[in-house]
Amino acid sequence: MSEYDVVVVGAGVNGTGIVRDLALRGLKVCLVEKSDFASGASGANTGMIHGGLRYLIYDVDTTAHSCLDSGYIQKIVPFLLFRIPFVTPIDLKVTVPFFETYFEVYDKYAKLKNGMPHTLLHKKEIQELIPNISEHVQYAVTTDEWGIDPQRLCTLNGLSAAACGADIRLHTEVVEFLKDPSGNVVGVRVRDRSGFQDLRSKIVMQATGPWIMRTSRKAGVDVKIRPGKGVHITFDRRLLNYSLIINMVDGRMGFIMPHENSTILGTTDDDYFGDPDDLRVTEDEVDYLISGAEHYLPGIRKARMVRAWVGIRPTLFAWGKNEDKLSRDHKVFDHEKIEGVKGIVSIAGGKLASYRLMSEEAADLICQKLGCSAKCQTHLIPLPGGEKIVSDKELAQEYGVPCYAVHRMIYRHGAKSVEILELTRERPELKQIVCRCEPVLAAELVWCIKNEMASTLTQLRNRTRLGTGMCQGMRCSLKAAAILARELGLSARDAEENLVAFLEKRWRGNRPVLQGSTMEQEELHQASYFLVGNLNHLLGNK
Amino acid sequence: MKNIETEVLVIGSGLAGVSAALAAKKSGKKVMVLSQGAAASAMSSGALDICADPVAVPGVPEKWCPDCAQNIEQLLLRVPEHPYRLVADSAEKIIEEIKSAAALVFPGQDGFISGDAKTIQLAFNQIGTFKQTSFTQTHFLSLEDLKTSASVLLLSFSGLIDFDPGFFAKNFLHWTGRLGVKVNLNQAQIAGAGLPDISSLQAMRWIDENAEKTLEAMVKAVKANRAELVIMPALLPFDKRQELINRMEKDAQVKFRELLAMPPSVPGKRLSQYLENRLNQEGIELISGQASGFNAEGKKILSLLTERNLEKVEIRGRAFVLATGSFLAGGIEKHDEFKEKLFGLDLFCKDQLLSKIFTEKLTSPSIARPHPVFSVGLKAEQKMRVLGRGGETAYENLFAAGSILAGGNYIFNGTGAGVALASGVKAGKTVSN
Repeated sequence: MSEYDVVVVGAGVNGTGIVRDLALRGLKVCLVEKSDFASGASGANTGMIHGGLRYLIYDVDTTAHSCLDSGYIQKIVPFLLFRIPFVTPIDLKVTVPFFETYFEVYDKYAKLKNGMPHTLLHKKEIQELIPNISEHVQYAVTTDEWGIDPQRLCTLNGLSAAACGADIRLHTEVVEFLKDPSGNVVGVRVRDRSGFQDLRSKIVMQATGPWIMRTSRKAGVDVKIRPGKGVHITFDRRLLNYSLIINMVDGRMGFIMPHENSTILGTTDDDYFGDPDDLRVTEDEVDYLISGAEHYLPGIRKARMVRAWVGIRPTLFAWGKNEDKLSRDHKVFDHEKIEGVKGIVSIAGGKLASYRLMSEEAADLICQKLGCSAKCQTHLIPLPGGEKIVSDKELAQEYGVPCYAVHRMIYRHGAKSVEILELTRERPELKQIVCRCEPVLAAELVWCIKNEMASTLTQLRNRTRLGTGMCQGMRCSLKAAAILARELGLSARDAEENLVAFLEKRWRGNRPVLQGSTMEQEELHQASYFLVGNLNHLLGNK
Repeated sequence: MKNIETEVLVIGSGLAGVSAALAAKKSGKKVMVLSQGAAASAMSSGALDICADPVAVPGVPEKWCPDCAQNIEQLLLRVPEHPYRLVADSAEKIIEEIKSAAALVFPGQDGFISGDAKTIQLAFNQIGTFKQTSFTQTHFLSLEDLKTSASVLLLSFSGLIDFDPGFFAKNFLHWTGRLGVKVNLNQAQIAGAGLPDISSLQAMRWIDENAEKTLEAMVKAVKANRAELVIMPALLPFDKRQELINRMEKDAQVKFRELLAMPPSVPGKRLSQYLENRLNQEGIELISGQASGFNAEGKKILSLLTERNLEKVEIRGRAFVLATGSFLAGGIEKHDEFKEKLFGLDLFCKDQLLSKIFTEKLTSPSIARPHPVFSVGLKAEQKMRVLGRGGETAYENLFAAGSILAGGNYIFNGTGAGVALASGVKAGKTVSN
């Protein structure tokens, strides 16, 4: 049995943000997560630290929070953010003045996050920026937003907390909430690979996102959300260099945006009443997105879709509102005040962009309950790798590695790249580029296994974007499995099962977009691993 | 526009296409092959499958039925629409057809493949697992080799991205153990190009240019390790392979074996080269180009259009064999609809006509289960003539062979080479009548 001040449940952006905040304040904290960092909603969003432009009309608080905090995030993790200039087409000429006014208001908030003021574009200028845009787009307005790798953001928050002494337990599921005779929560019973364990704590913080109604039932408290299913499609490479705001066939707003080495199209927003552990993208959802995007980029149907992915938005509950009109605001639930149950606090709702602020609010409440007077420092202390800026050219030269590979590594690891490349001094074979699509060096995989709690191929993928390119891991997953097996001393059976689990996970994303070259790739992929490698037959189906 | 005349035009230069061309040529016809480049055969692992045991229990790989005829019988009970049905009416006869097709395409004297159409062997691949197959290119590692040589040396090539010796060794020892063979495995590495990452194909080219140096390094490693059997990822170039192996086996007094490869694959390159040589040997013209259209009159195809050196070419023929493969080789595609790319022929899956269907319905939620989508293809009658949706002949002089035929699903049935050989030769024979 272990004693903690706080046990945080869920390693999404809220969970990792809160645990980092509390750890920096000097509390004894533990984070338990049944899967991996950012394996729920936090890892399945558009990856934007945006200002909440579309909430400006009916939810101005969300816009303000988002913009303010986006500025802080840029300071603590400068390497992980990239500017995405947005182009918003205006369909009707008469609405141009309206849009102008709208964006003038937004400019005030955009300043908070180093965004440039808006500009009005005419047809010719639009076509210069996006040559493949549809002829019908006559006017557009630009804004500035910031993109981020949400998986890395959660991982770095978790690692930062661990560096301050927090206990981070991945692949550990809460099976039960421990209660005292008067029904107050005094800890959790968890299960991991080694069995069951009781973790006692003064406060249990629920940051379980889409799972919050499920965990709340176990805890005997009431948190209600309106879970909304959001689907995105990833296209190979960049179809455009500016993010385009589009209207879907039903008038909903969507994005087509360049994101790292790919293009993302999203998203759907539908009430979801199913199992958050069994999420599937259906082909009609893919078609819905393509039909919307096609109106603006007529050629997009021919572009190569590499995968589709899905997450559940844990939106706060409201009755009688359309999914799209639901507030993206968040709420911290003090169950002592609401239901009289002590020892448990929950958080739900909110946006990725304002995670730090939400975490601060939750941490403040917890500290108040624990009588801890330490102040929040998460906006001042950089995340791991954010301590200083390093140069890709210099590092590439010093370690004899291709500059483009170092550039991508710095994007993920910031100044830690120096330590990663340092591994190649003793082991030059780690200069091997394992995933060529991204690219990812062997050294980075070894680093993630040793320093970033990656113990499966899926986790390596989440940490490094290994195998997310157009071949979807066809070539790199074997080599990565070999590196994983060597570094962790896995048995042949474990290594092969890990590989199959990875292929299985990958299949979930590929299955809804099987067409064109992706279908060819899939045939080759399955022939390699199942016909030649024979893995399905050797290991048996589970 | 340039005009070319032939009697038989085979479209596709993979194993099925070449089988058809050789069979038609043997019947005395004038044959040409139109090829748009790499076929799926260029991705070959080195194994040529006829039929894996369809009733083997997943997870119990040490139990399998080695009798190929029995396997085919079981397969046809389970997959009645399998293209083997078109080849002959009994499993024994199907095997005979495959055997004579293999003898036509791979005549014994040049020793390109080894194995037996009647028996399944277990062959090992570059990740250290194994699979059932009938033929392989010669000098590939099978379970039988391990029964006679206990002391094995694994030779790897430095910087090879497609092969990891440590991972191979771990898996290999695990699976040989499961199969009840005791192996004493040592490892050595050939320095090679000295690059941190190099693909199999790059390694092959390096060996091609540095054959003597490679041989020397190999022999030296073997002598230092006193092995009876040397195993290596498949890297030897087509032209020099046989000579390198002979000299190595003689100089180092050792048996040499390669491991089945994954794409990008050297054995695939070698198979493509071999098939091209066979066409040359038989005086069959290979035309490079992508078919861009066709001319037909009623139910008869008159000619195929293509482009060569920016010049439009029309190839007139009396009979046409479509051996353009499945999705991978580009014979069929799925965008909004499933489509046969060249003639727009009807496509089937499990005897059902396909048009605008969600692909999802033809796949399984688990990747490790068979996906009907890889069975999609053309329906043909016993003479390999392509059929339309009502069971009528699509074109009276259009025949099909290989993985473009519906029902094959070579990934899960392990019938790829068998179907290519037997259906190819059958199509080649019938067009000649």
